[in-house]
Amino acid sequence: MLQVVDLHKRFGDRVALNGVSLSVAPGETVVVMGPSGCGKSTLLRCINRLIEPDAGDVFLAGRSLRAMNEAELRAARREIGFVFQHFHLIERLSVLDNAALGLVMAGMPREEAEARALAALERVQLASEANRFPHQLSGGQRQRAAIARALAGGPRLMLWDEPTAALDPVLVGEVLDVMEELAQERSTAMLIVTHEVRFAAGAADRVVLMEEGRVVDEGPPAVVFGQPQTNVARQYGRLLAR
Amino acid sequence: MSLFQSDFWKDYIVVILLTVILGAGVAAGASRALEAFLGAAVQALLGEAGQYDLIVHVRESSRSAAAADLPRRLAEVHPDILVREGVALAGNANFFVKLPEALYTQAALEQLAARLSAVPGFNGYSWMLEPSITVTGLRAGMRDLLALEAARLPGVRAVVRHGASLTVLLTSVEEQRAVAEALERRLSGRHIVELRWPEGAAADVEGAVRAVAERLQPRTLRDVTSAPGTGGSLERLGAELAGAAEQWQKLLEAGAAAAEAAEKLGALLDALEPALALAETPEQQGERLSEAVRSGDGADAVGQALFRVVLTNVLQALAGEAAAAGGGTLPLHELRAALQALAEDAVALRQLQEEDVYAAFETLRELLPAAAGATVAELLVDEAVTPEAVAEAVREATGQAVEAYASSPGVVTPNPRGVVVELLANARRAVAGLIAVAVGLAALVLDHAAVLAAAEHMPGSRRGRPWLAALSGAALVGATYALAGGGIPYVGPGAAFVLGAALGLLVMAGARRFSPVAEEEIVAGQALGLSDGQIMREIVVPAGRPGLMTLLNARRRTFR
Repeated sequence: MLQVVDLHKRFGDRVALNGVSLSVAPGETVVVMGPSGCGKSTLLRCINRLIEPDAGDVFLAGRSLRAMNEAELRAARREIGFVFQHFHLIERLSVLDNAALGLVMAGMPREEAEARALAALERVQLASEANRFPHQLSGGQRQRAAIARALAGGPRLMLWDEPTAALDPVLVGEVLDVMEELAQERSTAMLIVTHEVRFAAGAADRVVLMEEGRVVDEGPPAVVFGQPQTNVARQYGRLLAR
Repeated sequence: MSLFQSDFWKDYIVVILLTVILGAGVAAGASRALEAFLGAAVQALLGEAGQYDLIVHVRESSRSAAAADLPRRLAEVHPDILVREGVALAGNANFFVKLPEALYTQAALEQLAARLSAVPGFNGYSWMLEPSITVTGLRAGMRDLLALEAARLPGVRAVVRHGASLTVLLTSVEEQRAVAEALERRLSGRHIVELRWPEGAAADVEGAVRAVAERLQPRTLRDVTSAPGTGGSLERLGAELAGAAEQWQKLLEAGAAAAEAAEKLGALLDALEPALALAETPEQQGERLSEAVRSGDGADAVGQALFRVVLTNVLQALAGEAAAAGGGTLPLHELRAALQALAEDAVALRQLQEEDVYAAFETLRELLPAAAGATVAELLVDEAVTPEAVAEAVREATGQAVEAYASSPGVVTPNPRGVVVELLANARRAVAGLIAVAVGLAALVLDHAAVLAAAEHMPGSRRGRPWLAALSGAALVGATYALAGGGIPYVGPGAAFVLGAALGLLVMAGARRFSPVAEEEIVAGQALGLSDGQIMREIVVPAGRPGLMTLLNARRRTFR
């Protein structure tokens, strides 16, 4: 489904991505982990070209995203759901409108779009809050609303950028539950950036460890955390063992 | 710029057009309202523009006669001339005259003015022609030359020569600046060089002009020497005499003193006459004195005889040579007649009025021009041509020892109402310009700052953002300024476009501060596959500051 090939990105003198390559199969859940600043979020944003990579390429279902023009890119983005750390909900729109926005703007009739948005909200158990506005929701609800928005378009690929990092610890669980359910459904390929090592160990098909803009380890969670080959893996292994 | 690949650009253009039209309307309306308000105040102060064209000043003592004579005299010129008697000021009665349109020609106006001197008590006149420009301090030749040139200028209806001035009547007040500048151009950078030949010398004016042309080669060289009978040096003489009221007063006082002195001298003569009648020759005086001594009448008789001798000698000394030539007797009848004439002259002097003096001046003008013109020439030349150089050139070429003096060719002075009207128009233009700039700036901040701030987060639009800012600012400020008739000093229409572009770039630099946009919402829209135009319409503009763009966008966006 997704192939990232030798991706490079610099911000001035700082190297954010230094030849990252990875792949995600359809329905597969891949968790990217690593210390802060190692380039995880940059990787996700380079995949759907929210940030333009300096070199390398990204293939979605075999099509190069870097070769796409703006219209093609917009169409490709509609196949990629993106869940942000800080939700990124449109504050003036209701939860339902937030979820339906991408569909309506893609040309779907308003009623159909709202029906699909409502279905997505039901999947994250937020249909009852459909007519409320983001500022009226708790952090967990807001993130679930953001997940519903990403799901509403029926994406082939879901990119998750530390979806629980901005939540109170007591609210993290409800978001992780949704993520686990989606992973179990295996209907969508998912590339998840998170520090939640237990979630990674339990829900991921593969774990990718990054350090200083490079992939330093990769494999099933049991192998990566059980037989750590790098300091990063060992640290996560210790966390998992607690 | 990807932002303009969607139909958002139509909204953007419509917003700019509407802003310009509405802004220009507001700017022009507000500035014209201000001008109208101030104009009404000026009108209350100066009277309605063009209500009267001429004020005839008449000595207050002749008001009744003038009130009867002036309308009759003017009706002979044109039956539609209106005359209204105004207030008397400083000893002058004032008659306000409104002329019909048909008389707004140089010939008609000047002939009309010439007729006024015959009005009883006439004491001058003032043109109130509006809108007009007056050029003052003109030599007669220069005045006539300028009159010819001014009459050919666009926007000039008629010119009127009066004294050392020229009044240029305009077709409309809007022409004032252009005509004033055209007249200034004809005067600036030039001066009048007056050549004076020694008294009695035969002046070679043509030779002098030729000498200046050949030797100094000025860009401008015109002989503006006053033609005989039209003034020139005598014009100035007349002006000097007319302005010599103080000397005239002294003359009247001297006349009064002379009359009084003559009267007293006459009385003295009357008193002395009996004694003088007894005046005797020295022989008779000797005999009378001997008789007095011989008669023995005493000291009194001798004293009286001595007194007579002394008195006679004193009177003879007073009479001077005339008495001596008369064989020792005084010509009393001649002295009396002379005193009588002096007294009568003094009384007559006191009875002289200003009109008689002016009449005398006019006579002087008629009688003396030939003599004056013969020794003076006036040349209009470039300012760089000094009088010394002119004198030198003439001396070398003609051998005539001339003296040369330089003076200003004239001063352009718009009439007071014209100045006020011009000031009001300038104020209106400045206010319109300021409002246009304010409207443009407000639109940039309220409507366009959000777009400019958002465009920073749109890779496809980021590079074109400075152009968008500059062009938007230029269009908003420049077009509003031009359409509203803005006129801030030193800011022409072209400068207004540049100023607008600069303001656009300034607003772009502070766009985030002026209109904070939620970057994460823009990124969310991008991640959902929205175009830049859709992001603007559905996310950025609705969240921006209320403005024209927000208003128009509200009807076009999908999610209300």
